Amino acid sequence: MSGDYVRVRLGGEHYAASVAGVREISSVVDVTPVPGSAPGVLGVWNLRGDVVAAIDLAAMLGVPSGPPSRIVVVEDGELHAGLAVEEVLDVGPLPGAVEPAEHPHLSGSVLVDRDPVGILDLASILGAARGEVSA
Amino acid sequence: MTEIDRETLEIARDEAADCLQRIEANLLALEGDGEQTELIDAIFRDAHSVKGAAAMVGWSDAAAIGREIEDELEQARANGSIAAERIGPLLKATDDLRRAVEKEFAAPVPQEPEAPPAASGNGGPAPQEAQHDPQRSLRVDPGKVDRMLDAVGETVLHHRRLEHIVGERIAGDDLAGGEMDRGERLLEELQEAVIGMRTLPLSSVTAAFPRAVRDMATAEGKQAELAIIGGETQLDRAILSGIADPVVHLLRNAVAHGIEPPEDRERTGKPARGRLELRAEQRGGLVAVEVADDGRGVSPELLARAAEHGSLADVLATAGMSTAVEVGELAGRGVGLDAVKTHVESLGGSVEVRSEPGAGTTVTLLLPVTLAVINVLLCERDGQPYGLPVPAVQEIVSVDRAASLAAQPRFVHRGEALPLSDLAALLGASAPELAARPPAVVLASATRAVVVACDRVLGDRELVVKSLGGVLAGVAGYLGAGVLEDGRVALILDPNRLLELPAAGASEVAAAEPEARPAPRVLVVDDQFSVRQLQRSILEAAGYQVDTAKHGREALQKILTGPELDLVLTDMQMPEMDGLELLRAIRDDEQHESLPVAIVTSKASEDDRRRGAEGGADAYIVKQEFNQQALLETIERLVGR
Repeated sequence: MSGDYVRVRLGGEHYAASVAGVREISSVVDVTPVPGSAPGVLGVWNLRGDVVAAIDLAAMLGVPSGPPSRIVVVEDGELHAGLAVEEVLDVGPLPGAVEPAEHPHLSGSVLVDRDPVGILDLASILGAARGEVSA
Repeated sequence: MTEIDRETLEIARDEAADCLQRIEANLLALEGDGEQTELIDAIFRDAHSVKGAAAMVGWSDAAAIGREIEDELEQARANGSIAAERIGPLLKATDDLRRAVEKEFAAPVPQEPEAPPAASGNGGPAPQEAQHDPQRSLRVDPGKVDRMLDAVGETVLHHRRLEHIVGERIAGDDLAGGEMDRGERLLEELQEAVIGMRTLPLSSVTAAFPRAVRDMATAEGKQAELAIIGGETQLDRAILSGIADPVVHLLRNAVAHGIEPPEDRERTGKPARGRLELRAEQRGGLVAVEVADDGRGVSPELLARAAEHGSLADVLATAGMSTAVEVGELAGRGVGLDAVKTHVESLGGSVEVRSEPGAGTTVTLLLPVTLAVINVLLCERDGQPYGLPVPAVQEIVSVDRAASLAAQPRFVHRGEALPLSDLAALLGASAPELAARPPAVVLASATRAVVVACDRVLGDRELVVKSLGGVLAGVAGYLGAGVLEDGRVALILDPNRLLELPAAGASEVAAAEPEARPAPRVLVVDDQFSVRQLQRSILEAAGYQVDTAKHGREALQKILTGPELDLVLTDMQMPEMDGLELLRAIRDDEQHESLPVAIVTSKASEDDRRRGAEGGADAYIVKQEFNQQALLETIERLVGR
């Protein structure tokens, strides 16, 4: 696995997003729900005057999790949105051996200290937030 | 040959480029396993638009290629699919069309030799190149203006946040307060100036229209003239370039379907030459652009269907419906109004159609003046603020008595039983039940009105419209979002969508018992009509009976001779008799000396406050856009409700 990853925690599970797709990390603020949006979309919030969608990452992955403390602002092409997570653990490289992960929102998984870390497929997650059904 | 100005051609070229780009993308998507019929419809509409615009500005090669693509897609539309081997040739035709547009756009515009040069005051004829003099006009990339407008919008919001934060602390400091006010005025001026940079008169896109209408009519063996009224009306550049194409559709439809052949017209006693009018005027916060003809109008059957199914615009816009048989170069094939409606709604506007069989048809496009800043009424439901565009808001009411019809909640307003909904249910949000007698907003278009109940009406604000962003762009029902001065995001609702949705979720309101106690009576005194109306709305929504007066003298008259009042809410500065004089007069009258009086004013001046208190005012309320809840609480306390 080349490049650095932002590692986050949801409940007892760990996930990682490539720093190439991470714009910034913000603390959790007032989120305005958007009725009619796709499941897993928390709503929109004000990021320095810009209106940005916030996604409940735990709900997207179907993982039990505590209340979010941070929003990781990610981008994929033209799209960007915030992923709400319980905790941001660290930023650093991941080990090389990638296993397939059988989840549409994960592009694979690696083992860190014998714990699996899911690698987030940002395109798939943002697509689902737009209401697209992933393959 | 009439000169078609360069700007019109540029707009036509840019629009064609947009359409062609979409056609290409959709053709490529057809090769995938996507839903075919929607893609075919979309390509058909775009080809139709390019063809129509090209025909309008006289690009005959481009119009011919556009028509070929349109014809093939029309066939595909009828079949519901398109053969895979046709995609290649169609992509090639798209390239040909793009080249034809560029070539014809680049060709010199034929100039009428005897065209009078533009007059320039008393200095005699101006040289032709005067309009390109860089000292007189400056070409700026619209993107730069947009960035500037965005920055100015943010600065205005920042100033409001600042005022919110320091307003309390500097209360009584006239110097600081004065500077804050001055800052606000300067920013408003700046914002207006930048918005002005984005607006252009309607006439900047209409120069080619009269000639085009004449040519279209001639091609159909008809006679028609076009009069343009209100061409000086200003519209946002983005809206203007967005409506040029719909207006062309409407003119084409009017000539093809509206205007009768000269013989028919003479038989029914009309002049042989049909008359089309393109009218534009400002209506409140909106601009109305109308295309009217004196032709045959729609059939009585269609009118009857419209009466049953809602509006005539909806009936006519039902995709695929055609009212004419011929398919000439200029005949709108029924896609016209569908495309127009979709387009105008995407700009935050709406379409209305009136027609009288035998006498003509008028299509009205109601458009916002600018896309950048929008005036909204903020309503709160379940703690969330929602903005409703002010032009769509007819009134604020209190749902004190709800009825029901066919098991649907109704609110009787001005003699009409309107559908009553809970804002949350309408949007599909879960929320706690509404309180008894909730405030509600009457939303209205020319053909429909609905009543939408919420928890609180917070008042009106000017918001810089932000897009919900790519991730949420597909969610229907929102014009965008705005950032409030406390940093929260308010969704801006699309009133057209709320008017279309079936009523939802106010059945509990319908069951609420009206209160037996008579509503307290409040007299609102202010010299400004808008302030009186706003305060009346807020108070009536909260269940008060409200009377108004323009100044102290009128107020005193009503206090002394009218029905008994529970409270007077008065402005300070007014002609005839000001707030303090009114207060003194009330305190001097034996019968009314204990009548509660609250002074409302925009100045947080300590001096005013002291004089008000000395004069015997019961409360002193500073006008601020955001403290309407405080206003209601103060009033409740004073009338002892």
